[in-house]
Amino acid sequence: MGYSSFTYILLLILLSSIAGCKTVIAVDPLTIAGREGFIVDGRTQKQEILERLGQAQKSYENGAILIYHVQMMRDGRLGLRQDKHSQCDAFVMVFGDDGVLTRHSYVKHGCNH
Amino acid sequence: MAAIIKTWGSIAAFLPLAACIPIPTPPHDIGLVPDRTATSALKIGVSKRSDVLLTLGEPRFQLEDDRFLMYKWDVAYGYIFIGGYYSGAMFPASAPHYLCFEFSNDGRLLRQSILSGTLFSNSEKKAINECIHPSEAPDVK
Repeated sequence: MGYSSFTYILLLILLSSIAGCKTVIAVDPLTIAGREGFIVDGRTQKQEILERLGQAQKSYENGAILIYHVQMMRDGRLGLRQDKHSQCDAFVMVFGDDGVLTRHSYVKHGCNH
Repeated sequence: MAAIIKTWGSIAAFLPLAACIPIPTPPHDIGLVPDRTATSALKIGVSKRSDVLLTLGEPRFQLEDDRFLMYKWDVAYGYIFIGGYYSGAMFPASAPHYLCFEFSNDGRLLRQSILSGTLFSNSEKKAINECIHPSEAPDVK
Protein backbone atom coordinates (compact mmCIF):
# COMPACT_ATOMS: atom_id res chain seq x y z
CA MET A 1 0.00 0.00 0.00
CA GLY A 2 1.47 3.34 -1.09
CA TYR A 3 1.78 6.36 1.13
CA SER A 4 -1.01 8.19 -0.68
CA SER A 5 -3.45 5.25 -0.31
CA PHE A 6 -2.62 5.03 3.37
CA THR A 7 -3.22 8.75 3.82
CA TYR A 8 -6.52 8.51 1.97
CA ILE A 9 -7.76 5.65 4.16
CA LEU A 10 -6.59 7.49 7.26
CA LEU A 11 -8.57 10.54 6.17
CA LEU A 12 -11.67 8.45 5.56
CA ILE A 13 -11.41 6.94 9.03
CA LEU A 14 -10.98 10.41 10.47
CA LEU A 15 -13.98 11.73 8.54
CA SER A 16 -16.19 8.85 9.52
CA SER A 17 -15.36 9.47 13.16
CA ILE A 18 -16.15 13.18 12.86
CA ALA A 19 -19.29 13.01 10.75
CA GLY A 20 -21.88 11.72 13.16
CA CYS A 21 -25.24 10.38 12.24
CA LYS A 22 -27.98 9.68 14.75
CA THR A 23 -30.90 7.47 13.88
CA VAL A 24 -34.28 8.69 15.05
CA ILE A 25 -35.62 5.60 16.74
CA ALA A 26 -38.65 4.79 18.89
CA VAL A 27 -37.94 3.18 22.25
CA ASP A 28 -40.10 0.42 23.75
CA PRO A 29 -43.09 2.22 25.39
CA LEU A 30 -42.77 -0.04 28.42
CA THR A 31 -39.56 1.81 29.21
CA ILE A 32 -41.60 4.93 29.90
CA ALA A 33 -44.52 3.20 31.60
CA GLY A 34 -42.10 1.58 34.02
CA ARG A 35 -40.53 4.89 35.01
CA GLU A 36 -43.47 7.26 34.75
CA GLY A 37 -46.23 5.37 36.48
CA PHE A 38 -49.00 7.83 35.69
CA ILE A 39 -48.67 7.20 31.94
CA VAL A 40 -50.80 4.17 31.21
CA ASP A 41 -52.48 3.42 27.88
CA GLY A 42 -56.24 3.06 28.27
CA ARG A 43 -56.31 4.88 31.60
CA THR A 44 -54.43 8.19 31.69
CA GLN A 45 -56.56 11.22 30.84
CA LYS A 46 -55.35 13.97 28.56
CA GLN A 47 -56.27 16.49 31.22
CA GLU A 48 -53.88 14.84 33.67
CA ILE A 49 -51.08 14.97 31.10
CA LEU A 50 -51.71 18.67 30.50
CA GLU A 51 -51.76 19.39 34.23
CA ARG A 52 -48.52 17.56 34.86
CA LEU A 53 -46.55 18.46 31.73
CA GLY A 54 -48.17 21.70 30.56
CA GLN A 55 -48.90 22.58 26.97
CA ALA A 56 -47.29 20.32 24.39
CA GLN A 57 -44.72 21.66 21.95
CA LYS A 58 -46.64 20.23 19.00
CA SER A 59 -50.23 19.16 18.50
CA TYR A 60 -51.88 17.26 15.63
CA GLU A 61 -55.41 16.21 14.70
CA ASN A 62 -57.00 18.91 16.84
CA GLY A 63 -55.05 17.92 19.91
CA ALA A 64 -55.59 14.17 19.65
CA ILE A 65 -51.84 13.71 19.21
CA LEU A 66 -49.41 15.62 21.42
CA ILE A 67 -45.62 15.81 21.23
CA TYR A 68 -43.46 16.99 24.13
CA HIS A 69 -39.77 17.78 23.87
CA VAL A 70 -38.13 15.74 26.58
CA GLN A 71 -34.86 14.22 27.65
CA MET A 72 -34.13 11.11 29.63
CA MET A 73 -32.66 11.91 33.04
CA ARG A 74 -29.82 9.93 34.57
CA ASP A 75 -32.22 7.96 36.73
CA GLY A 76 -34.21 6.94 33.64
CA ARG A 77 -37.13 9.28 34.29
CA LEU A 78 -38.40 11.78 31.77
CA GLY A 79 -37.74 15.46 32.10
CA LEU A 80 -39.13 18.28 30.02
CA ARG A 81 -36.31 19.67 27.95
CA GLN A 82 -35.18 22.98 29.41
CA ASP A 83 -31.82 23.60 27.79
CA LYS A 84 -31.81 24.12 24.03
CA HIS A 85 -28.32 22.66 23.82
CA SER A 86 -29.23 19.37 25.43
CA GLN A 87 -30.37 16.25 23.62
CA CYS A 88 -33.93 16.51 22.42
CA ASP A 89 -36.19 13.47 22.31
CA ALA A 90 -39.88 13.36 21.49
CA PHE A 91 -42.56 12.00 23.77
CA VAL A 92 -45.56 11.25 21.56
CA MET A 93 -49.03 10.59 22.95
CA VAL A 94 -52.21 9.64 21.10
CA PHE A 95 -55.62 10.15 22.72
CA GLY A 96 -59.01 8.69 21.83
CA ASP A 97 -62.20 10.69 21.35
CA ASP A 98 -62.92 10.25 25.07
CA GLY A 99 -59.62 11.93 25.97
CA VAL A 100 -58.00 8.74 27.24
CA LEU A 101 -54.44 7.87 26.24
CA THR A 102 -54.48 5.06 23.70
CA ARG A 103 -50.82 4.85 22.65
CA HIS A 104 -47.54 6.58 23.41
CA SER A 105 -43.92 6.39 22.37
CA TYR A 106 -40.55 7.82 23.21
CA VAL A 107 -38.58 8.68 20.09
CA LYS A 108 -34.89 9.17 20.67
CA HIS A 109 -33.60 12.29 18.82
CA GLY A 110 -37.16 12.68 17.54
CA CYS A 111 -37.69 16.40 17.96
CA ASN A 112 -36.77 19.39 15.89
CA HIS A 113 -34.54 21.93 17.56
CA MET B 1 -29.06 8.80 -10.38
CA ALA B 2 -29.74 12.34 -11.61
CA ALA B 3 -29.24 13.61 -8.08
CA ILE B 4 -25.84 11.89 -7.80
CA ILE B 5 -24.69 13.29 -11.17
CA LYS B 6 -25.83 16.76 -10.12
CA THR B 7 -24.05 16.34 -6.80
CA TRP B 8 -20.71 15.27 -8.28
CA GLY B 9 -21.01 17.95 -10.93
CA SER B 10 -21.22 20.49 -8.15
CA ILE B 11 -18.21 18.94 -6.39
CA ALA B 12 -16.23 19.10 -9.65
CA ALA B 13 -17.01 22.79 -9.87
CA PHE B 14 -15.04 23.28 -6.67
CA LEU B 15 -11.90 21.55 -8.00
CA PRO B 16 -10.26 24.61 -9.56
CA LEU B 17 -10.33 26.47 -6.26
CA ALA B 18 -6.89 26.93 -4.76
CA ALA B 19 -6.19 25.20 -1.43
CA CYS B 20 -9.45 23.33 -1.67
CA ILE B 21 -9.36 19.56 -1.44
CA PRO B 22 -12.55 17.65 -2.19
CA ILE B 23 -12.57 14.14 -0.77
CA PRO B 24 -15.34 11.99 -2.22
CA THR B 25 -16.83 9.30 -0.03
CA PRO B 26 -19.61 6.81 -0.56
CA PRO B 27 -22.95 8.56 0.10
CA HIS B 28 -23.81 8.35 3.77
CA ASP B 29 -26.39 9.91 6.07
CA ILE B 30 -25.45 12.68 8.46
CA GLY B 31 -27.44 14.42 11.16
CA LEU B 32 -30.74 13.03 12.40
CA VAL B 33 -31.87 10.22 10.15
CA PRO B 34 -35.32 8.59 10.12
CA ASP B 35 -35.29 4.93 11.12
CA ARG B 36 -35.52 3.13 7.74
CA THR B 37 -36.64 -0.16 9.26
CA ALA B 38 -39.51 1.59 10.98
CA THR B 39 -40.56 3.57 7.91
CA SER B 40 -40.57 0.44 5.74
CA ALA B 41 -43.06 -1.09 8.18
CA LEU B 42 -45.57 1.70 7.48
CA LYS B 43 -48.29 0.48 5.09
CA ILE B 44 -50.16 2.56 2.53
CA GLY B 45 -53.89 2.60 3.31
CA VAL B 46 -53.36 0.95 6.68
CA SER B 47 -50.97 3.03 8.77
CA LYS B 48 -52.30 6.24 10.25
CA ARG B 49 -50.84 9.64 10.97
CA SER B 50 -50.42 8.61 14.58
CA ASP B 51 -48.31 5.59 13.50
CA VAL B 52 -45.93 7.88 11.64
CA LEU B 53 -45.63 10.31 14.55
CA LEU B 54 -45.25 7.53 17.12
CA THR B 55 -42.46 6.02 15.01
CA LEU B 56 -40.54 9.06 13.77
CA GLY B 57 -41.40 11.78 16.26
CA GLU B 58 -41.80 15.41 15.34
CA PRO B 59 -41.66 16.20 11.61
CA ARG B 60 -39.76 19.13 10.20
CA PHE B 61 -42.86 20.41 8.41
CA GLN B 62 -46.59 19.92 8.91
CA LEU B 63 -48.51 21.21 5.92
CA GLU B 64 -52.12 21.82 4.92
CA ASP B 65 -53.75 20.91 8.23
CA ASP B 66 -51.40 17.94 8.75
CA ARG B 67 -52.32 16.37 5.41
CA PHE B 68 -48.60 16.34 4.62
CA LEU B 69 -45.77 15.64 7.07
CA MET B 70 -42.13 15.99 6.05
CA TYR B 71 -38.94 14.80 7.75
CA LYS B 72 -35.53 16.06 6.73
CA TRP B 73 -32.00 14.71 6.91
CA ASP B 74 -28.76 15.17 4.97
CA VAL B 75 -26.70 12.84 2.82
CA ALA B 76 -22.97 13.56 2.51
CA TYR B 77 -21.22 12.69 -0.74
CA GLY B 78 -17.79 13.79 0.40
CA TYR B 79 -15.92 16.42 2.35
CA ILE B 80 -14.17 19.59 1.35
CA PHE B 81 -11.07 20.87 3.06
CA ILE B 82 -10.19 24.51 2.66
CA GLY B 83 -6.86 25.59 4.03
CA GLY B 84 -4.13 28.16 3.91
CA TYR B 85 -1.73 30.06 6.14
CA TYR B 86 -1.62 27.35 8.80
CA SER B 87 -5.35 27.22 9.23
CA GLY B 88 -8.13 25.27 7.63
CA ALA B 89 -11.70 24.14 7.75
CA MET B 90 -13.62 21.12 6.64
CA PHE B 91 -17.28 20.78 5.79
CA PRO B 92 -19.40 18.05 4.29
CA ALA B 93 -20.57 18.20 0.71
CA SER B 94 -24.13 17.25 1.47
CA ALA B 95 -27.58 17.36 -0.01
CA PRO B 96 -30.84 17.57 1.93
CA HIS B 97 -33.24 14.66 1.66
CA TYR B 98 -36.88 14.64 2.67
CA LEU B 99 -39.31 11.93 3.63
CA CYS B 100 -42.76 13.04 2.56
CA PHE B 101 -46.01 11.53 3.87
CA GLU B 102 -49.49 12.28 2.58
CA PHE B 103 -52.62 11.31 4.50
CA SER B 104 -56.27 10.95 3.56
CA ASN B 105 -59.11 12.76 5.30
CA ASP B 106 -59.49 9.88 7.75
CA GLY B 107 -55.79 10.05 8.63
CA ARG B 108 -54.66 6.97 6.67
CA LEU B 109 -51.33 6.97 4.86
CA LEU B 110 -51.84 7.65 1.15
CA ARG B 111 -48.28 8.10 -0.05
CA GLN B 112 -44.71 7.92 1.22
CA SER B 113 -41.85 9.23 -0.90
CA ILE B 114 -38.24 10.30 -0.61
CA LEU B 115 -37.28 13.62 -2.17
CA SER B 116 -33.63 14.23 -2.96
CA GLY B 117 -32.20 17.73 -2.99
CA THR B 118 -29.03 18.79 -4.75
CA LEU B 119 -25.65 19.52 -3.28
CA PHE B 120 -25.46 22.60 -1.05
CA SER B 121 -29.05 23.41 -1.89
CA ASN B 122 -31.36 24.27 0.93
CA SER B 123 -34.44 24.96 -1.11
CA GLU B 124 -37.05 23.87 1.37
CA LYS B 125 -39.79 25.60 -0.64
CA LYS B 126 -38.99 23.40 -3.64
CA ALA B 127 -39.09 20.25 -1.51
CA ILE B 128 -42.38 21.30 0.06
CA ASN B 129 -43.83 21.93 -3.39
CA GLU B 130 -42.65 18.51 -4.59
CA CYS B 131 -44.20 16.87 -1.55
CA ILE B 132 -47.56 18.57 -2.07
CA HIS B 133 -47.52 18.27 -5.88
CA PRO B 134 -45.67 14.98 -6.62
CA SER B 135 -46.64 14.96 -10.32
CA GLU B 136 -44.48 18.06 -10.85
CA ALA B 137 -41.44 16.50 -9.16
CA PRO B 138 -38.92 14.77 -11.44
CA ASP B 139 -36.80 13.30 -8.62
CA VAL B 140 -39.50 11.56 -6.61
CA LYS B 141 -38.48 7.97 -5.78
